[in-house]
Amino acid sequence: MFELKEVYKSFISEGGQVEAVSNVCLRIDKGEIFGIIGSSGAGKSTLIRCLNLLEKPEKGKVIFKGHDLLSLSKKQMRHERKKIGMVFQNFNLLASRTVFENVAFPIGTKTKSEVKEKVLALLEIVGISDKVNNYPNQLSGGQKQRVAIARALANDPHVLLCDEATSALDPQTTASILSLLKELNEKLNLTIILITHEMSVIKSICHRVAIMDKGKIIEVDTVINIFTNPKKPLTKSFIQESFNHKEIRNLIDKNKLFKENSHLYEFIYKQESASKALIATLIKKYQLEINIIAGKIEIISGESIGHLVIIIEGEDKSVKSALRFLSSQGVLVKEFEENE
Amino acid sequence: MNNLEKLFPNVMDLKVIIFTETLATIKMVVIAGAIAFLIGLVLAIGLVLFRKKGLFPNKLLFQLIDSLVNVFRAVPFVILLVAIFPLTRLLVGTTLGLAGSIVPLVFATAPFFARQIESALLDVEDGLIEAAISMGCSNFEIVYRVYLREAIPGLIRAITITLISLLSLTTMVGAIAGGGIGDLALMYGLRRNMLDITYITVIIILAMVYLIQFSAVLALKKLNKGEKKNEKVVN
Ligand SMILES: Nc1ncnc2c1ncn2[C@@H]1O[C@H](COP(=O)(O)OP(=O)(O)O)[C@@H](O)[C@H]1O
Ligand SMILES: [Mg+2]
Repeated sequence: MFELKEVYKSFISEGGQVEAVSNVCLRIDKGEIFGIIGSSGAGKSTLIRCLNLLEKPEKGKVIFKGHDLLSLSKKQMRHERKKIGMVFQNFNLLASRTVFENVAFPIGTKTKSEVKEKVLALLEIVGISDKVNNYPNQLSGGQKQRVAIARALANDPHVLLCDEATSALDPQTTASILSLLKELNEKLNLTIILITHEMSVIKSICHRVAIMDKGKIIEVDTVINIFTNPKKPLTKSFIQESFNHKEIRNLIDKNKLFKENSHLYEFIYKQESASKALIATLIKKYQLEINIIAGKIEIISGESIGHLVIIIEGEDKSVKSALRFLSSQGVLVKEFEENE
Repeated sequence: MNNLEKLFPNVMDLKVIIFTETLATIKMVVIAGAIAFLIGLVLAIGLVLFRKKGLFPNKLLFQLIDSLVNVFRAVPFVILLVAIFPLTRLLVGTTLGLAGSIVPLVFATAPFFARQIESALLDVEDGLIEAAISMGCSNFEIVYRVYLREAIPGLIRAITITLISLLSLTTMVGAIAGGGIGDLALMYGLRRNMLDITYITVIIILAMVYLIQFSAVLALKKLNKGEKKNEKVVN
């Protein structure tokens, strides 16, 4: 669907030159939900805006369905943009137009009744048919984003770009918008590219994810692999944010749980390894004392992922062989580190 | 009736003149206002499009319009009026009467209008423009379907402020080119010491200001459905 080759974009600011997107290469396939996660200022927005040339890369290629967008004329580019829908963090609805008029806005050469049919069908899909004649300021954030999504779909795009589409919404509304996106992906086979700073968003709907830092993509993989086998420290810190490590540390110190021959570990494992009663094996076979400090199981891309923070007590030798056993069972074992 | 005549002894005698001069002022405001609006609109769109972050950045054109607007706004009206006499004569053949008034009024009002409209257009959020670009709109479509449409409340406010300031300019132009309510106040109120004529001109002007603001409030209210509540008309 999209292929980025060595895309580069910098800005001149007071502090000098900022390399917002630095030689990014990326391939996004048809039909997938692709997430890009990074901290604020990592260059996510700039990168996603390079996809429809809202931001023009200084170097590199942006290939959309086989065409290099940078080589198109203005008119051809406008035509291509109609196939690339985009939604924004703050919705960007036209305040002077009703919901109907907003969704009808991008629709080009069609008769009045065709437009009406199309708009009503779109509003049905995004689930706000009852607000046709309302103005944007009469809607909640979630409803506004639904209108924005309907508008972005008005020209039957092949791909939908979402720039922090849920970041202005509360958790419940976020969940409902994400499930709408997922539905669109499944029903319409719509390719979706979304950027976010929240791992929970990636976790709930993305198939693949890229981690972005200081203008560079540092890791790309399926979400399940990223969660079970993250490689870069930043990736780890993103997936660890579901546990508050500082609080866990405080808990351990407060209750004096940590003894001389204690080892503190974090285990991340897929369901298949979980079902093999890992903990029981550790206790029985390796004669270890196990103290579970924190734990949870999450469903990611349809697979359940376990996450435990554990204190292991026992002889160094048996601890080592226990850890080896765990690795052989596909459990990711990490020393517990505090992240800020 | 008797009391009224005592209070306004000359008004009754001069009511025809008062009526025609009021009409003259209205004509000045409407004609000069309409022409200045169109010129101001073009200048403002130019300023918005050609600015650094505009759709069509062009430093040269931006600075040209920007300084043109500044210069004409900086010159005090009475001086501008006199300074462009030759141009006025060239354009309409006279410097007197309605025709002679319109030219300087347009010159003084268009830059003012341009600034007001510019600020109304700049109030349209950049995000809306980006959304429109992302939907494949052309620059022309963005100007008339987004900028102008979304700025309508701001444009109404711009028109209100500008018309009121134009109204006060018409009284000054009346003193030199002749005609209008300002002329009336000078000719009768001042020179012939008819105090009641001065008062009636004040009342008429106030009524006009009120009418302009009232229409603006009404128009905004009609639009208010789509806009945030509590929009006020600035004056
Ligand atoms: N229009 C711009 N002008 C100057 N600097 C910019 C502009 N847009 C983004 N930047 C800078 O580029 C970097 C990346 O920004 P952005 O892509 O918005 O990051 P993110 O969306 O990941 O928070 C930041 O340092 C930001 O300050
Ligand atoms: Mg951003």
